[in-house]
Amino acid sequence: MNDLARSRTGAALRLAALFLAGGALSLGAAGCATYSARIADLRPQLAGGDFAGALATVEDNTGGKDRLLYHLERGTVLHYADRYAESNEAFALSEQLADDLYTKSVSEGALSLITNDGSISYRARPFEMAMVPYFKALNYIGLGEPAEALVEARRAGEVQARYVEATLAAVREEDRGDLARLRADPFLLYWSGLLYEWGRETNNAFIAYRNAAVAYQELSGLLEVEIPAALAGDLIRTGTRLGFGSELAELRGSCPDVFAAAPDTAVGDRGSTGEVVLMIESGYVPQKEQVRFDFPVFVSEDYRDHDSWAWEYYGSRGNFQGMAGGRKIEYWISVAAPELKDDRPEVVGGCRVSAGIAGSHAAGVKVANLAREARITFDAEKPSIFFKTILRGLTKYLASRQAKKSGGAVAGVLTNLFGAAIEKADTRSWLTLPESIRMVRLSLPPGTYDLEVEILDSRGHPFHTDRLPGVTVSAGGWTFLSRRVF
Amino acid sequence: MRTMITRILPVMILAALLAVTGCSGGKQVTRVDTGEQIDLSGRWNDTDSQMVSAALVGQILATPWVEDFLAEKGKKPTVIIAPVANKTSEHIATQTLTADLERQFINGGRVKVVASADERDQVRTERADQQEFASPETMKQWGRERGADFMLIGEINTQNDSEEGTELKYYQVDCYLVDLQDNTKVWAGFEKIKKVVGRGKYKP
Repeated sequence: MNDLARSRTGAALRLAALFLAGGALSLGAAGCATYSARIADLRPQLAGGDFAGALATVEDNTGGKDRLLYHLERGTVLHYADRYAESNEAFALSEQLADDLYTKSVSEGALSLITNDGSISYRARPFEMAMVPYFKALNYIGLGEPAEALVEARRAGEVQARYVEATLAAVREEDRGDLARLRADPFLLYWSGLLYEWGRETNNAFIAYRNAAVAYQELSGLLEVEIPAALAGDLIRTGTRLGFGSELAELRGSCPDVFAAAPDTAVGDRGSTGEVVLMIESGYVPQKEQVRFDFPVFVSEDYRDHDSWAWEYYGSRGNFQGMAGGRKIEYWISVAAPELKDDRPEVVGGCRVSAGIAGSHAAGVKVANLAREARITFDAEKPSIFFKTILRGLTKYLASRQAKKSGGAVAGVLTNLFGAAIEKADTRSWLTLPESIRMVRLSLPPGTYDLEVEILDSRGHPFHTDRLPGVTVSAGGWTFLSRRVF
Repeated sequence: MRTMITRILPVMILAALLAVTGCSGGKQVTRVDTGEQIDLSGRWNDTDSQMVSAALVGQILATPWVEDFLAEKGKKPTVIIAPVANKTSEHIATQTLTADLERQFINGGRVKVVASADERDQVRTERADQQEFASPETMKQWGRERGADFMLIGEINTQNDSEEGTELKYYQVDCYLVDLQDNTKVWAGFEKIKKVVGRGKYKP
């Protein structure tokens, strides 16, 4: 073998080794299947109450570059298994890791250009990290640690804005769209206000209610959520207690929809009744699925006539053999991109709760719509994802051409096939999050109640009934509860 | 050709090993001096607690209320430290701050410190136990506890600001010394801690 031939073979082998190394890392980090396919058992296990199975699925299929999802999924499963302290440990680890992941790894980014986006450590989306204080607060309430729940109330107001900023920094200004409007999450602000009032931090409660009112007024249409009628009463009650008459009058003007059903006169303290706040979390947030395109580029194709080529490609409908008859394939293009599957209608259309005494019925109000937030976030990120997908396809093509040039046709084909085999869309997301949250408020005399919860379909017909026995209500007190409906 | 394979093989083996092991590094544990200042995340830590308690006790003892009390009552004042309320968005173990404050007071020797409500419950359980099991000459009596003259009340507040990876954390610990007889605040002070946490946008 002469020097030139040896040098070409060496270059080809080095290139092949680089791809193999990248591919091995990619396969080692994430396996062959996409994340959503790999962890497909998790949702049915959680819905069926198989918490041990769900934890095993998380344990077996996450970690490495999905470490953040490992903590988040574990935190949720443990929360629903009533293992509140362990759930909070998992969520605390997720918060620490999410902080650390602010700094992006250049080597991970470079590796993703020759493998797939699964080579990059998963960074949570803003609506995902914003839900961590919600679950942690519920856990602390379950543990009987109100002071720690209040810490989460404070965090709930901060997290969303921080992660929206971080996400916006990674997308082009013209693509930011509605995501830039989501720096404040009306539901989380309202939730923190309720916790503050429970913790007797009336001033903080009023500020959180006020911010929630402004956010609901501005974003309820975009997020497709209802403005909770109780919010106006909460504002009037706390504002009156603090002597904030002028602030309330100003808010009535700036948030007319929030006060639409509120009385003109001040609402005093709740007196001898206690307040039950029941959160009904329903469904699953839409997940991403892979959309894959595979098609050949022929050696002798005349690509100057795009229409003709496109019709031929369309006409073959995936029957590449028929299309390729008698022609030589130059390169096999394989690109995979994620698509958010949010086209299914929501199963739960509403809910009703009764405490079994006169006047103790209340309907749930859809206060949070995580499916919509997922769509807004995905739409903002989509152009960047597709740009990177094209860039990766081009990098793989150039690598294959270089391998062919240096090591011959076999090296080129091998590099092409390997690049195609490891092409995979990044379908990672926090899969156990609910699709939406409804809030039910009941003002009840002190006592112990068995609450009956009716879950309604989209036509308003009940299709599931749940019972919450032994709910204790104290005079002037707050009782926070949550239920998940799958 | 053989030379080339010899060069490439280790790279491939390394890649395969990395894929299998997930690049996990071994855990290392190093003992460090407890007085050493170590900031990892920028969150409230033991160094902050020690610095704040030393500064606050220094402020309290530098004011004339101790001497005023001595002159009026002819004895050292007795203080109880109430749990410091955490009004921040971090889970802070305020017990360490309370313990640091207590220690600074006790070691300073100018005031007496009585046990907290939780500790008193423990002590009373022990005293109740003594009534049944201890010998009469060693058994401690009921109703002889020392009542505090002053209560130290405190809370931690925080304000955070951030932009492009740089985060400003501002903690303020406010403390008041309240006369338990008439609710007079005989001393008010605060201590601030300001931290800038910088995060690089990129790493190798």
